[in-house]
Amino acid sequence: MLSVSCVKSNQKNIMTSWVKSLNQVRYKRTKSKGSSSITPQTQRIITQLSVLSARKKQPKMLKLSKEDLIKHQTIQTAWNTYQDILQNERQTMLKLQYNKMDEAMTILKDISPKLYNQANIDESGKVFPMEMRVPTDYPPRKLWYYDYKK
Amino acid sequence: MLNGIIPFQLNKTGFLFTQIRTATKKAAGSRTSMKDSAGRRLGPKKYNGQEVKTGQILMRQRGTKFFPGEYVGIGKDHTLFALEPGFVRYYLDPFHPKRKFIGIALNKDATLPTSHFEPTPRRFGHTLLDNSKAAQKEEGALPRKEYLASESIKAEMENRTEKRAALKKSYQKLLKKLEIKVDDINLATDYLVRLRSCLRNGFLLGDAQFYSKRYIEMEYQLKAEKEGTDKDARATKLQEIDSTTALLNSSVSFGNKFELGAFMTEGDKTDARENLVKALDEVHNNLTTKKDVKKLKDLFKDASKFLTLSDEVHLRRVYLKPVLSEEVSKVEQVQTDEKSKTKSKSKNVVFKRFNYDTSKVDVITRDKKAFLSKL
Amino acid sequence: MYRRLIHTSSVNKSSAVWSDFTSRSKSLGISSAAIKKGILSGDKVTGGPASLKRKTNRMKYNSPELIDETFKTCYDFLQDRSEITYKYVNKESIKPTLKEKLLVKAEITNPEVQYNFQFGDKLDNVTDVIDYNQPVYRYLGKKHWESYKQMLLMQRLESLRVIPDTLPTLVPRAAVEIKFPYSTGVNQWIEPGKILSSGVTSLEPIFKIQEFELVNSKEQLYTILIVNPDEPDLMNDSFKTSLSYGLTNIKIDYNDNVVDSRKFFERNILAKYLPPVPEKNSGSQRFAIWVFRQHLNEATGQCDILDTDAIIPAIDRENFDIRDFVQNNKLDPIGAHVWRSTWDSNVKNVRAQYNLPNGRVFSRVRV
Repeated sequence: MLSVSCVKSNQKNIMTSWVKSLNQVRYKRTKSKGSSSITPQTQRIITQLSVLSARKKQPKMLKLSKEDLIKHQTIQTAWNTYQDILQNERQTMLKLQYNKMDEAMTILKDISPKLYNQANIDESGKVFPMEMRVPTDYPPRKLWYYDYKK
Repeated sequence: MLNGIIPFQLNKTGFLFTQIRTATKKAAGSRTSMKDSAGRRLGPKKYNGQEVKTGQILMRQRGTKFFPGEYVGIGKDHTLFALEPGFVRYYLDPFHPKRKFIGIALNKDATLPTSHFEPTPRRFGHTLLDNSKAAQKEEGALPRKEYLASESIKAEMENRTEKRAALKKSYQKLLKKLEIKVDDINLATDYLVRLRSCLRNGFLLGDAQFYSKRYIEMEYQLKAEKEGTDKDARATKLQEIDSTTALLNSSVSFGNKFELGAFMTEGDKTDARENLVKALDEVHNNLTTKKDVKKLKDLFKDASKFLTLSDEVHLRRVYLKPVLSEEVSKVEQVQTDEKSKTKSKSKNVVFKRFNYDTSKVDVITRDKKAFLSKL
Repeated sequence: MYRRLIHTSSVNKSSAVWSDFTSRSKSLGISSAAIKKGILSGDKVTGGPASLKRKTNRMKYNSPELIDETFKTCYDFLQDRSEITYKYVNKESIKPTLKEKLLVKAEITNPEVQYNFQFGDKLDNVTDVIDYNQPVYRYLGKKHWESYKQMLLMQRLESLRVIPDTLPTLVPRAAVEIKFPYSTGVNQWIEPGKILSSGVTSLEPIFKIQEFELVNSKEQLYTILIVNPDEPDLMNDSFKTSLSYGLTNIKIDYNDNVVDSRKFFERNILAKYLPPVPEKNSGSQRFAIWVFRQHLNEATGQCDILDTDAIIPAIDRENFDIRDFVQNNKLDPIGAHVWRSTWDSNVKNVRAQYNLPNGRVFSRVRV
């Protein structure tokens, strides 16, 4: 019986040597109460906020008068219409560009099938070179700061 | 003999034999396979085309192998039972292609499911009570709640009829006083009471007048039909209703608190309003004592006859303002400041108020005259 | 990006289609001058929004920053767009359906229209505020009706099995409302499916039929039927449908659409009103109101008038087949409504009033 307990305690010692104990131990207070980074005022506010429900912590819903509500809605519709116009413009531009490209390619196909095939090589997966920079008259001595840290 | 023996080769020492008894293994049984219950007698209890009565069980099942169709109910253990007497049908419904249904057809030759756009076949089920005594007893029987409430309802109805009678009487008096001669005073007062309730309920004047008149007409027509009054008499009575209501519409009118008075044209009303405003201005401009306040209030006594409710409220707000506006009394304030130097301070009222522009509390001194209640 | 728009609009003088009321309906503008001014030119000068009634509330109110300035640019922008649409509308040789659509497009962004519709009474509409002759208000009204009342109606019709017990189905296109002003003098529109007491239903109802679609309201005629599919039929131990009320050849307008006895005469009545008088223990009875458009002849542009003299003798009120009636007279169901009635202690008074025989009494329990 005794020998068993002895073995157990031995094992414990071995364990503690390389496994951190899960039990928390309270030591003597080294910091004084007041010297914590949070002031009592902030602490009080934190406690109060923790008690409040999440709904009350949200900003209040805007209460608009009838006039302002209509104004707000009008602004929204105007903005949406404007965005629609922009989108349409962009779409038509892209369409025109595509049509022009298509036209050029058909002509190229007729003129030089070889060039046409070269122009049609699949380039998917190709990435823009990161180190490429605009050519300047006076390039810096060190082109790229590889060890740059913010 | 070697069949049941599996040889094991050991390290250089030789063979070790383990024997397995193939035929007799676990023949004695184990604990798990002893748990069978008796059969639950599941399955169809009634088959397609069989005649059933209400409540008879059609199918016992675990889970909904069959779904309840038309006039079939389902129990908590998914037992299907008949809700109407009829003939059992096992069928498929194109609305639920993965389900099988059991339904009750009310007729022997009806097929299920009934078409989605056809009227549902229904059974009335109640029998006529031929025995007059039993029928009378059944007709007199009320649900408990209704029975308990009947006394109070009756009392309330009596109360209402009394009130209506009192109102009619007062209208009769008023018509006499205004010297409006109508042939049938009962008809006239009935119409006025009805008109009042219509107006109270928020109908526009034109609609209220029409609906009240039509109500009187309809009531009369139903009564005449019941009594078998001849055509000419009816026509004359309807004519009378027409003329009486027209006369009343042009000779009496309701004020904004639904009290009856002599008729006022729109012109009369605007004149009366102008006069009232003039009188109010006069009193209001030199408001000094409590007597003046009373005078002001008295001027509003008849106002409900010619003012609309919102207009009256507006005028009351303007002329019986509990605290005078500060912009008006700025001159006053200067005067009071001068006076306060000489006279006692008790004539002024001092109070504090938050100023939204400066975000500070202002101390405000005002003359007592600015407060209607402190005159 | 927006600034660019401001500049262009200030250079090319902004249009004023929305503020010009010489040819446009008055209902497309806000009638209250104070509120109109508050929306269009801001209410900071006037001391708060005019829609707030109390002065203190007006003083306390803070509107969002720069809302008036932003609104001004947006308003001009939208107005310019509207002008383009109006120019297109005024071109001739345009189809009426397309014209309707364009008119909706031209006015739907107008803040005054939005104000009138959002804060005006949509059911008992005042024509100065919401005028359903205007395509925009019809469009907005339809959207508003579809957002709740139409769904409620269909839910009631389906769960009470009014469809298919009376007619096979319904594609609702017009809002139908009923009210009983004669019997009680109460001014209240009835919610579909409500159980009404016999006193309330003792005299005929009035109807309001609000059309949202483009119809020829000068020619279009309407038929209204009230049927009760729950009349006990002891012979067959089932139910039969009876006709409670029938009106025909009724003309309505987009705004003037309340059908009461000012709108029709003796010759419009297919069947005089018979009030609900359910018998004891016969259960609750559904009274389905059906509103139909009568057939409009495309070629002549004229509506078929139902010949009441020929139809009335052929009608069997006790055993009315509404499906046959609808088919024979080429009626197009556009709206419906339903109320329910049960036996109550006032039924015998109503029976006495209409000179009807005493009601039968049935066993309480079904056998």
